[in-house]
Amino acid sequence: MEKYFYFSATPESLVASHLSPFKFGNYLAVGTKKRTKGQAIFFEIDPDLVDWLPWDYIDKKLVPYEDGEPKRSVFLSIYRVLENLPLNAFLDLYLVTDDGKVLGLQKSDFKMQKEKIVHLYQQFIPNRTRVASRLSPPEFMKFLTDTSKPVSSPKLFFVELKLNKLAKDPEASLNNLPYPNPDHLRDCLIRLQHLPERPTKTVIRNFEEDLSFRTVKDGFFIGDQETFISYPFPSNEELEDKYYSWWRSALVHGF
Amino acid sequence: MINNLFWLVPVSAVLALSFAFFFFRQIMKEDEGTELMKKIAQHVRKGAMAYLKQQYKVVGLFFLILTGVFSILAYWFHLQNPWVPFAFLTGGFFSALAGFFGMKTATFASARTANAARNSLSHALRVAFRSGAVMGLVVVGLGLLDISAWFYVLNFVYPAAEDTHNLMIITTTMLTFGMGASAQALFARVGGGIFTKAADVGADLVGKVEAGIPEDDPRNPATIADNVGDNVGDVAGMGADLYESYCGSILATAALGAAAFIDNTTVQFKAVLTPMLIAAVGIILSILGIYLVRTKENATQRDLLKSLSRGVNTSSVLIVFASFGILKLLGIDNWLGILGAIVTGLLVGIVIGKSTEFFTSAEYRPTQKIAESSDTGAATVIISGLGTGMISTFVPVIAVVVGIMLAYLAGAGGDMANMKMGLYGIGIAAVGMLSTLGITLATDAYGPIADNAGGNAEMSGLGPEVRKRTDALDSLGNTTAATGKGFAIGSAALTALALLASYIEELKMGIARLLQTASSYMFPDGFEINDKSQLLNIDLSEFMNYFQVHLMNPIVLVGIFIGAMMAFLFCGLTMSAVGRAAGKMVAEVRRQFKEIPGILEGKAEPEYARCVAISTKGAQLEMILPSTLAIIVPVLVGLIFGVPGAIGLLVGGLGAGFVLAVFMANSGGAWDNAKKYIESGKMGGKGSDAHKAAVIGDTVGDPFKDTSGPSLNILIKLMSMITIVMAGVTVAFTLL
Repeated sequence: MEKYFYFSATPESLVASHLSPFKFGNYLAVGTKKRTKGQAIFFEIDPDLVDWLPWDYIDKKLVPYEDGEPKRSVFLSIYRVLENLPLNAFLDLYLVTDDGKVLGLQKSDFKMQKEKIVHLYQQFIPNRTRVASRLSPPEFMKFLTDTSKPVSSPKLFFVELKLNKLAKDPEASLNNLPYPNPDHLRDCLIRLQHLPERPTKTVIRNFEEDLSFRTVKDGFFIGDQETFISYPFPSNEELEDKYYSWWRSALVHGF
Repeated sequence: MINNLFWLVPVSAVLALSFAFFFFRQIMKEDEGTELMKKIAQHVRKGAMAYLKQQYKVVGLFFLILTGVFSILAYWFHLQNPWVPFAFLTGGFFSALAGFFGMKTATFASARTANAARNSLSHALRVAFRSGAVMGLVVVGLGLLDISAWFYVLNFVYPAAEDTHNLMIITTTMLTFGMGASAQALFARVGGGIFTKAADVGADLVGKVEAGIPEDDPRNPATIADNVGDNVGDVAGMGADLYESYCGSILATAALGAAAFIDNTTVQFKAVLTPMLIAAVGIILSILGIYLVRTKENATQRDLLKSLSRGVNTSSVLIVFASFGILKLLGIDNWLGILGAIVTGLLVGIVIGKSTEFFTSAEYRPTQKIAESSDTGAATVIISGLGTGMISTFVPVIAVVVGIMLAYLAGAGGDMANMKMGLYGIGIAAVGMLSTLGITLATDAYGPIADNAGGNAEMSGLGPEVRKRTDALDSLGNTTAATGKGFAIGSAALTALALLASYIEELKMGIARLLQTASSYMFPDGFEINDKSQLLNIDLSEFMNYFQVHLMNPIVLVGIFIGAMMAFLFCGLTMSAVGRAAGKMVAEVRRQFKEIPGILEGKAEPEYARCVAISTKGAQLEMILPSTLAIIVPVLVGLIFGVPGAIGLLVGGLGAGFVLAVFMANSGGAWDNAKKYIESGKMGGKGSDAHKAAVIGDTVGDPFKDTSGPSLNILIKLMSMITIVMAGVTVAFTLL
């Protein structure tokens, strides 16, 4: 059976499996007994580019079940995983809804916006902080992965969220944005506006809920000081047309 | 001339049924779409028919028992007209038949509508609306056919021309077939309402909340039951409800007409024929209105609403002119006043509809305020929704109050003391309101068809353009459904009032039957009569005095309290029933998720039929207690408290029931639309804290607007019908 390797961001872990990405995603979300649900975000990893994989352990553990079924998961690492994975090993990104529908995103060049606006970022690794920032995604990546600063991380994985009119005017209405504690978000944006020397303002220290996929703006980003990898999120038209089954599930919110 | 005019009634009925059949054939010629679409539609069809079969078994048993009771009362104790057992059976049979045809058409139409949406919105509207029109025309056609058949047969046995008493006997006998229709409507509405909400709530609780599965997802085992419920509750249930109002209003008015002109057979005949002729012409104009519902290829939501309104409004306006013609042709006394009463009925229907729209549509402030209250959590959403619902009773109640007074004055020719004609005016107002039922029911019944079409489109994976079109139709259907519910409540109130008045005539018939075997009859206040001809000379107010029906009689107040309590008890029982039945559905869906491998990956097909069976069984079991109470309590009140208690019961039931029904329907509708308002992108949109709170409000409101609220319409009328049928027993035996 083929072996696959995945870097999961929910939570941070490295996993080996016999399941192909879409089946793995479904399994991550709903398990096998079908009494669980949960969103998942993971990357497929090219094992040939990771030189520290414990192959003896993998060969021993990644074997089919007694009934011949493919092994669903073998956890290989759960601590500082991203820090130790080379960025060139990252293949496609997969977003899984909490009922198990999977959307695959490929890397692509990032299209820089010329307009200077405020951005809202949701980090996943190393922590789940939500931050408002004047910096563009590549600038934000460089800023937070500068290890000469005390507040930094060797690598970073985050997504940009929509702000709509709030990106330019913090007094504007939230309208369709389902963010918790909207008044606090507005306060943070106003503060950012009044403090030009500050590039970032923490909005939520530790965001514990599932990501609302419909709030994703341009896409997901992973990288370090030298490397910036972008995974663009499909347009509304593509979501309605090509990926409708996934999109429908993404729009449902279990409470 | 008069006899010839009667034939318009059965001819119109046959015309309605012919057009219903023609539309049905047109719909069946439409392509049902892909294999998957056909498969899904077949599942829903099977589930719906399985439910109907089960329901008819339970209802059949009830009918058997009640027919036995009526037969004993009629043939053993001679306390009942001998035709009553047959009238009861035919009323129930035709009501069931109307529900059967309507639902059969709806289940054939949903996939065809979804497939038509692949071409254009206008094509989809045509298919969906014509399918709704089948329901509408079958209801009015069968209703009027039954009425005209009974009138013809009874006229043979009791020739109207020979004795003014004969028309009294004919019309009061015909009134009893209304009880058959009421009983069948009760089971259809209550059972259907419990089914639909148990399936809907159950599917949502496990599907969306627990498993995160979207609406109408084929992986959800309860999704087919949810779609079946749309047909069972909103098509068959609504059809039976309005069939009963339609027949009840015509029959009650005919009975009042016979009583009002007891001195003259010619005028009496005209008065009896008038409501039937209005209904007959209403059928023709409804058919015309149905043909006017069409729209251009690239229609917007607004265009759709305009086209539906064009059909309904044209029929409503033309019925006024047609009624003018009929009344002038008949040369009935005070024909202008009667026309005024008809116009009053139509206007009351419009006002109630508009009021419902104002209080429940997200276009207006009341619903927007509920949405805004979601900012502070679920509790404030509930409070706000309850408050809005209660306030919303103001306009329909005032409309009905003003309508009653105007109709009374119009019918009485401005003379408040002319009670018989005044009450006739109220009855005719109800007939006026329901005269274009053929098309108004079509606009109502098309909603669940559009809803199912949307479900079919989702489950079949049809493209975004198709889904947009079915969403537009569905959204419009929700608007028309809310207005339709308001209309159903308003017509129920007027019909119940007309039935209350015709109860007096039934009491007279009951006393007349007693005098066939007894030498005299003594009223509760001591007044005695020896001959049934003396009954003719007693006017309504005197009759009420003899039975001591006044507010100083504590028995009347006792009856009022019991009647008011019945409305709340009935609501509580039906709402609790939804909770219990939904719980069983949730358990089954969870079991299937656990025990059927591959279900959430879409590899294994869920056991849809099991969920349908659970909802069916739940609905049948749970409907027994509230339905039995609705039948037994009026009988017991009549036996224990006599006529004053029975009238008190009807007054209390009507007063509390009508207002409670409006409140529940409007609260439920407002909560639903408040949630949709937020989902459209306000207050943070889907997934926001406000949305979560609004979803709770919507879930609470579901049984309000789809189960308990609509069931009250039937309760109000059924209690009147039972009291009417038991009038003979009430005058013969009373404990107090």
